[in-house]
Amino acid sequence: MSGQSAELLRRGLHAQRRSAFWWAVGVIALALVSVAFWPSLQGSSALTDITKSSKSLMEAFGVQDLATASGYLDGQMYALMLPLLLSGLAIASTSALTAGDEDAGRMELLQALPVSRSSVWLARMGAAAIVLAIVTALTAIVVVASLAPFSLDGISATRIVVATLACGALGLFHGSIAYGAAGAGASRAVSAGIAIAVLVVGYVASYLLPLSDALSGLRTVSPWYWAIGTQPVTNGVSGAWMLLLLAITAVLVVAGTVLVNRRDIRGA
Amino acid sequence: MAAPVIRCAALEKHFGDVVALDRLDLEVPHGQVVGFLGPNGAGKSTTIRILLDLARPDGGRVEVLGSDPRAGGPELRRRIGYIPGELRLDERLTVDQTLRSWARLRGGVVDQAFVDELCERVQLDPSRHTKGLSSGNRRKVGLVGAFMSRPELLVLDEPTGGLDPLIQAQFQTMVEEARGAGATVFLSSHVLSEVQRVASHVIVIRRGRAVATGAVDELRASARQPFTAWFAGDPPEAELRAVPGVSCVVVRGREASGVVEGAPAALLGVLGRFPVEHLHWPEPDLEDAFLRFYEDDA
Repeated sequence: MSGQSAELLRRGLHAQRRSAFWWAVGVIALALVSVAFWPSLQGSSALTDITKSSKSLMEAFGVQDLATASGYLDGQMYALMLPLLLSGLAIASTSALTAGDEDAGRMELLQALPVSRSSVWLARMGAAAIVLAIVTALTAIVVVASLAPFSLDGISATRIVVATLACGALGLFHGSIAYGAAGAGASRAVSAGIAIAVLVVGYVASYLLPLSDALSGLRTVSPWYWAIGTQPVTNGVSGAWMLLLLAITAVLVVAGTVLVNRRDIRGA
Repeated sequence: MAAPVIRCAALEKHFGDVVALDRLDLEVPHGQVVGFLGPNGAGKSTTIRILLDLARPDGGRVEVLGSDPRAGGPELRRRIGYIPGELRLDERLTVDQTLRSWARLRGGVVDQAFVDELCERVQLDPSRHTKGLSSGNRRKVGLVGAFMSRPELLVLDEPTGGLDPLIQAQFQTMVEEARGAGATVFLSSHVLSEVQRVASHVIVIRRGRAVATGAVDELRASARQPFTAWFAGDPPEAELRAVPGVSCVVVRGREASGVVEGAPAALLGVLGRFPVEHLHWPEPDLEDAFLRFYEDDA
C-alpha cells in the first residue's frame, strides 16, 4: 500500500474512533447479556411456553426455539439484534465518512490534493469496513469465550464464528448501500436513510411476510435471508446465498466509486 | 514565450437553470500573478473548482499546466497549491497534524523546515487544535498548506479574507517570493485593493464571462481619476471643460473638481497656466476602472 493510501485510511479510522468505541461497547454488552442469561433461563418452561403460545409474534422477532442453547442464541442475538446493530454501525460510519464529510465541505480540500477520488472514497469504505470487522471479531471472541462458562452446550466455536461473520457481512452490505448512494451524490441523511430503508424492508421480507404461508417465498429476496438464513447458529449459513450477498456488495462499492468519479464534489 | 499556465476556452457550467459560466475565455500567462476579480456569484469559485477537477464543465475546454484537469488527475494536482474559498478543516486534528497529513498526501515531498518557517511568518501556532480556530487562523492553515510544497501554480480563492493587515503584508511577500521562484499565481477576490497590491494582471469576470482583462498598470491608466483644485482667483471653468477626457466639472467658489479619463497631461497643462494653490490628486483606484464594467448592467 502506498503511503498516501495508508494516510487516507488512517484519517478515516481516526475520524471514526470515538463512535466505533461506543458501538463496540453496545454490541459486546448485547453479547454478554445474551450469554449471561442463558444459565438462569435454561430449562425454564415459561420460556418454551411463550414460544409456543405466541408463535407468530416470536417468529416476527426471529425467535423459533428457546429450549436449546443454539435456538436461544439465535432468538436472543443472531437472528435480529446483532445483524441490526452491525448494519447500523456500518451505515452510520460509511455515510459519515463519505457523504457526511462531503456535506461538511471537508472532501473539497482533500480531493484538491494529489490523490485520486477513487483512492479517497475506497479508503473511506475501507475504514468503515475495518471498524465493522473489529467489532464483529470482538463479538465472535466474546461469544466463543463465553460458551463454556455459561454452559451453552452443543454449539461449536466454528458455528459461532461463521454466524457472527455472516452478521458482519450483512452489515457490510448495508454499508455498501450507503456508499453507493453517497457516491451517486446523496447527502449523509439520504444515503443513511436509503440503507436503513433497505434494512427494514429486508427484515420485513425475511421475518414478517413469511408469517403468511402464501408470502413465505418472498423470504428469498431478503438480504437478511441471504446472510443468515433464519437461525444461523442452529442451521448454519448458506455459502451460495452468502456469495450472492457479497457479489452485490462488491457491485455497490464499484458503482459508488464509478459514480463519484463522474460528478462534481460538493463545496462548503 | 511559454504556453499559458491556465487556459479556458468557451467554458460552460450550469447548475440547473442557473448559468454559472457562460462560455468563459481566459488565459493566465506563465510566471505572472493574475487577479481574478468579480462580484460574489460571478463564477470565480466555479472556475477555480473546475481547474482543480472538483467540478466538471458542461462545455468548452480547460487546460492547466498543459493538461485537462480530469485527465491530469493527481499528477497534475501535485503541481498545484490551492486554498478554497470556504476552508473546512478536519476538526479532530491539530494544525501540525493537519499540515503533516497534507504533506503525506502530497507524497511526503514537503520540507518540514519550510512549513515551520511559513507558520512562523503568518504567526500560526502549529500546536493549536483546528477546532475553534477563527476564520483568519483557518485561512492561515490554508495558506501554509498551499505554499508549503512550493507548487508551480498557486490557485487561491479569496485568500486573505479575515487576515489582519500585518499578515496580509506577509502574504504579499510570500506571493512575490513564489513568483520570483518561477511560480504562477492565480488569485480570486472581490476586494480590488487586495488584488491591485499583488497582481500584475487582472481578469474581470461577471455573470460567468470574462468582461475585461489586462495589466494592472493599463487599467490604472484608463481609470477615471477624480481631481480637485483650489485657485487664487476664479477657477477657469470653461478651459477645464474643454480639456479632452475631463468631465463632471463642478465649480464652487475658488474650488473646481472633476474627473479625468486617461492620461492627465492635457489637464495638467491647463492647470499650469492658472494660479493653482492646492491640488488634491488621489492615487487612481482600480475600483473605479472596474466599476464601469459592472455599471454596464444598469
